[in-house]
Amino acid sequence: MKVKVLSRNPDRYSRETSLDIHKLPRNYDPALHPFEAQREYTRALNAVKLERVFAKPFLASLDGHSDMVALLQKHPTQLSSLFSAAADGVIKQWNIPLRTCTRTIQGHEGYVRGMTFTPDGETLISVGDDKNIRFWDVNPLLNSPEATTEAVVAKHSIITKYVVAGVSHHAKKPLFATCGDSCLLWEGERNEPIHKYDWGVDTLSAIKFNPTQTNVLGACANDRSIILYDIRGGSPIRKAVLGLRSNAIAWNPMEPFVFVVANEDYNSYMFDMRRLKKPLNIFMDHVSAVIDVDFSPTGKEIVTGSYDKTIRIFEVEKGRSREVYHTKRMQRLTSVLWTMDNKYIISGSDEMNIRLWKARAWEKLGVMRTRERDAMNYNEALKEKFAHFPQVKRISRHRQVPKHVYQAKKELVTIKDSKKRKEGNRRAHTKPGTVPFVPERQKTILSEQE
Amino acid sequence: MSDDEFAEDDGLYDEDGLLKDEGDFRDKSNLINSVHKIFDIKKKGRGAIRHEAVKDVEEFVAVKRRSGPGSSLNKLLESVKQSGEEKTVDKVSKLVKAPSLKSLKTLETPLEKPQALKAKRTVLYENAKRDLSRFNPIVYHNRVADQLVYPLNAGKKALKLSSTERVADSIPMTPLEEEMARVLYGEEYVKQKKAELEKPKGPSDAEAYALSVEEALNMHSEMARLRAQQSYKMAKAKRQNKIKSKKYHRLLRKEKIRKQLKEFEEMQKKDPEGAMLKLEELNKSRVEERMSLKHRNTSKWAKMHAARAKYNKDSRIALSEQLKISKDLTQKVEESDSDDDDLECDIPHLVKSSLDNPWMLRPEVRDSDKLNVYYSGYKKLWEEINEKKDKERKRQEVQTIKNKQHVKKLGDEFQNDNIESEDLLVEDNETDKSGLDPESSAAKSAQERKAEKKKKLRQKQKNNKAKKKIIVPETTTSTTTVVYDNDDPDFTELDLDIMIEEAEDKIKDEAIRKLRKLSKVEKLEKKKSEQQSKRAAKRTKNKSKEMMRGDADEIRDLDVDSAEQLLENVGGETGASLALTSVNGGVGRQINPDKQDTSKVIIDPNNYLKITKKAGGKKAKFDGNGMNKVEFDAFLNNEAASSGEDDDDDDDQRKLIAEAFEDDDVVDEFRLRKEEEIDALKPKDVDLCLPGWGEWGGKGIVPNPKKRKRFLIKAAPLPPRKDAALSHVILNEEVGEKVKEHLVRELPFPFKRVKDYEKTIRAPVGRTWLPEQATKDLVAPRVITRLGAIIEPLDEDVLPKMKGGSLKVPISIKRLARVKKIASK
Repeated sequence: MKVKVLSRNPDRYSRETSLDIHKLPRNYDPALHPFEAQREYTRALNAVKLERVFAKPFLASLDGHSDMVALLQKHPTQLSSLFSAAADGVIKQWNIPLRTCTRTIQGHEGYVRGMTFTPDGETLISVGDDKNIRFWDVNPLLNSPEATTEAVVAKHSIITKYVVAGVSHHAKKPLFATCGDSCLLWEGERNEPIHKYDWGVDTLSAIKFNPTQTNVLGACANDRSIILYDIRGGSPIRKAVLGLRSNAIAWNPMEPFVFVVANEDYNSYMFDMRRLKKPLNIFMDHVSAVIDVDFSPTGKEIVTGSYDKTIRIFEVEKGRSREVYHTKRMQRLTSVLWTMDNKYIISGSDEMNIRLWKARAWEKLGVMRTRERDAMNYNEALKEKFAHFPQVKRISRHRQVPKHVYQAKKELVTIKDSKKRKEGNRRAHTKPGTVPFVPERQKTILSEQE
Repeated sequence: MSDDEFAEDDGLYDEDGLLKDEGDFRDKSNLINSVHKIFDIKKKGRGAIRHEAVKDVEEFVAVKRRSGPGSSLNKLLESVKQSGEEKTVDKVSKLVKAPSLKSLKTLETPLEKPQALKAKRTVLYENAKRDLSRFNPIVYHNRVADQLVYPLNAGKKALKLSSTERVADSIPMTPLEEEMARVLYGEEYVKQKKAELEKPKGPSDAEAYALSVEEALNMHSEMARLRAQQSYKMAKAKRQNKIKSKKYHRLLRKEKIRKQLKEFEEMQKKDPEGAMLKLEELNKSRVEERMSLKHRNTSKWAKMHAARAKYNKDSRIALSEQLKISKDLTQKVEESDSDDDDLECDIPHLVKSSLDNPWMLRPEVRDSDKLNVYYSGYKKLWEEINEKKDKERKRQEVQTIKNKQHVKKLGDEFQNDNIESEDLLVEDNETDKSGLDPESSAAKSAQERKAEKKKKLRQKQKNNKAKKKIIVPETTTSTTTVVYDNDDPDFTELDLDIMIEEAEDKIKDEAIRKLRKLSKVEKLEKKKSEQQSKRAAKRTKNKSKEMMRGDADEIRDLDVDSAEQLLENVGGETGASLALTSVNGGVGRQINPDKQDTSKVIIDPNNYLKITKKAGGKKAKFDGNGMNKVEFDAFLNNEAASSGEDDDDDDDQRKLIAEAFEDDDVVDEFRLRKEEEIDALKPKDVDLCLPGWGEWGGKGIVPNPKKRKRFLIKAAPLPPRKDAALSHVILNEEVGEKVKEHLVRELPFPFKRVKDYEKTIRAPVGRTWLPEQATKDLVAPRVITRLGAIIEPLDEDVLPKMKGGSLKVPISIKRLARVKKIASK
């Protein structure tokens, strides 16, 4: 009699070398997997929970300033260097990976209003309340041996007639524009502006060159308007008046006709330059004035810093923030920027500190093994797939916010509701048509002027 | 200046002041010529010389120009001709041509500054917009791309640098590197590199700011283009401002209106909501026009014309035109009712789907269907009746009187239950008819049966009274009959009784046919009953069934009365009897003692339909007395199907099934179960009353009802159940409370149908269910950025280069540039 024995041929299951992948026999017949969707849902829930577990956005704080950080400027070609300016006129250069201050300059007397780089990244141009435009060598140590003097003395400086409130450099040519009393265009280190653009009498508070369509300039005026300029024609080209003043403007680096402004009315507005009638999107969530805004270098997201002591990150096609950053000690934000590699956010605030954050709070930075990355990708895909499921949505949206933000939010909701109710009442008690339904986006722009 | 002055200078005169040779005329003319020549030259020379740049130029020294083109210009032209280039020649010759006096005009004043600036801004903005729109394809591509790897142009840059280039770029800095370079490439190379190193890195300031020739040309042409565009804009603005012609403005306005209309039409297609808004706006403008006194002939102008109108035809016309305009503008736009038609379209579809299922059949639907059939039947009848009308009038009168008597008897019952009364009427009418009919053999038996029916009726009424008190007024509108003839509008009087007769005949025929069918079934049953005698015995208990069998037997010899009986059994449920009852009801009203027999009935088709529907709806309620529900339904279905050709196998089958389950009252059982279920789920009141609390008492205390009421917390009523309208379903609403919080409540944005969304959720993406590569493709991230890689903003270089010639540079300037280039070399 022959007895059948259970036998296993090692060839069937063992790897030839340790580098081979394990053989995993699988049957993909869907009939054998009746609970695919359910299992994936569970996985998605776990993924979103893990995301929250790993969300630790705060990386570092760079301290050294002895007055509020007025503004930050990223270097156009070097990821590691960052320039910050304080309200007392001190400009500091930072090495981000080392988290150290590499250079300190007494840039101006009083508030530093703006900084910008020449396209080659060799020169920093700064403007301040002392009516000076100053040119600084960015890497004095490299260019000359006598670094000590070069490092603290400006290459060149121009004294202007009026106070300058902001500066922005052309992306290619040696031109830069300043704002203040009016928009001035300067060339290189010449002492006189080559052009003056005027429209109306009010002053301008922020200005930014379009990085792609390099001849276009956007500026925010104190009379609540946004003004666009074209330096080829030597004239302003269009003006749009909003409900409240805009504090900052940023151009989308990947979509040259899109820009976003940070507004005093707690919102940021994204516009298509060609259609200023109504904004493309309104980014709501802040509970106080938005002070600064910057686009991610991919043009898919924006970061805003607000007077309500929080930083928020918005996806461009959504109206509500996907992330809110805050710490107990961070005060009013004055400046935010997104680093050029899309991985970090840097913020400067009232209480003299510069903070470094991750752009995606849960992302693992650094080297990842293939399997790890695959697992990450899978988790991301699951989160996206089940994003509309209430539990997934709830977990991924839940954030702790400071008490004052929470209360303010509640108050805002109340205000909004009461306004809505009032409007409804008026609509109900007047002749039909007297109180029309106006979409929120159309309310934004008060007028567009040619 | 005179000739004398010159004479002195030139020494053409002798010392005495006399001419040397007076006689030689020829010489003289020569002399004059030469003098003139000199004169010309002298004049020119004097005028042209101006040594100092002075602000105020003396007018006397101003250059006097010759009126025509000089010969020198012509010479120049010729030289150009020799050099070729016809275009330039043409241009120059055009320039050179003397402008005629007519074409010479004073220059127009420039536009006012704000306007001019506005024109400029508009032009610039349009240009900037156009420039930016060139990025559209790239931007939109990036927006919808499955995956974007930033930096976008990383691959290109790496490709551009070859290895040799990279080597060449490295500059030896340290002494060691220098040594190595010397060994590798030689002394020369090192020197060269050192020189490079010493040279200033970027271009010098002058170089950086200086424009290349091409750049200058581009700039020049660009500026020229801009200026041109600007001037066009300004000219246009000016022209339009200046035009005074009313006709022009009218045309302009009309064009604007036409444009708006066009836009509106487009909008209607694309964005109906927006179109509605626009329509409202238009309406508003109309209202404003109405409000205003425009075009009302109240203006100054109109008054003036009115004064003149008596004598002047033109002003009369103008005034009337004005009024016409006002009329046009204030006329309200009629809205079409096409929407209503669309709404109605859906109904038949619904009916169709539910016809197959006897449980789902809704009585209203059935009734209305049959109603239509009968309605059309009446129409046909109508025409015949018209002819017979005169002949039969007498007979009618007799009948109506008789009817009257019957109705008086049953007056009370009428009031209690509408349905029953109508049934009764049917019967009454028919009995009368049968009484008159000489052929009917079973008149007596009919009378007997009538008595029986009355008994039954009373029973029913008792039941109904217990359930509900419905007092139907005598003039219940459900009894008005409608026959509407479109062809004959004059006709309003209706001979009802004839109609009734005819209708009754029809109905009877149909009923008989049905009974025949039933009898067939009976035969089948009998065969079965032999085997199952017990069941047959049970069946006999069912009264109505028995009756029906009895009827069926009778009907073998086509007895009319039995048909009547059957009809009554069925009650008012079937369409046939329904129509009949409505007709009879009409009679009933006619016979009303207050009214004359010959009273005219005015017919309203809408009313008719509505009412009968209502009546049908009421009748649809199954009272449980007549027939078994299952049987009844089966019968109904049979009826429904029998409107055309019937006797289907399906019906037989249904009947069989109905027979088989006749004893089990499934419906009632189900109803009870549902009620229990509902009761169990009802929230209970909470009684917080503590008897004896706060009052003297002992055993057997009865709490104060006021107090009890105070402490009774009434439960909030539940929201209406989902199955409230579905008698055949119990929906358990409690199941799935836990699951609910995991379920998606709203369809997410890009999806239009739930089905699609479900599909995406159902499709797995994990490795567990898909091959490795499929998973990788599915979970690939949308955007990939590398840590430490700078992502540059989009560059203009990504745009496809414009083809040569898009920038038009005048040839002359090109040539100039060429010359300059050569010179600089």
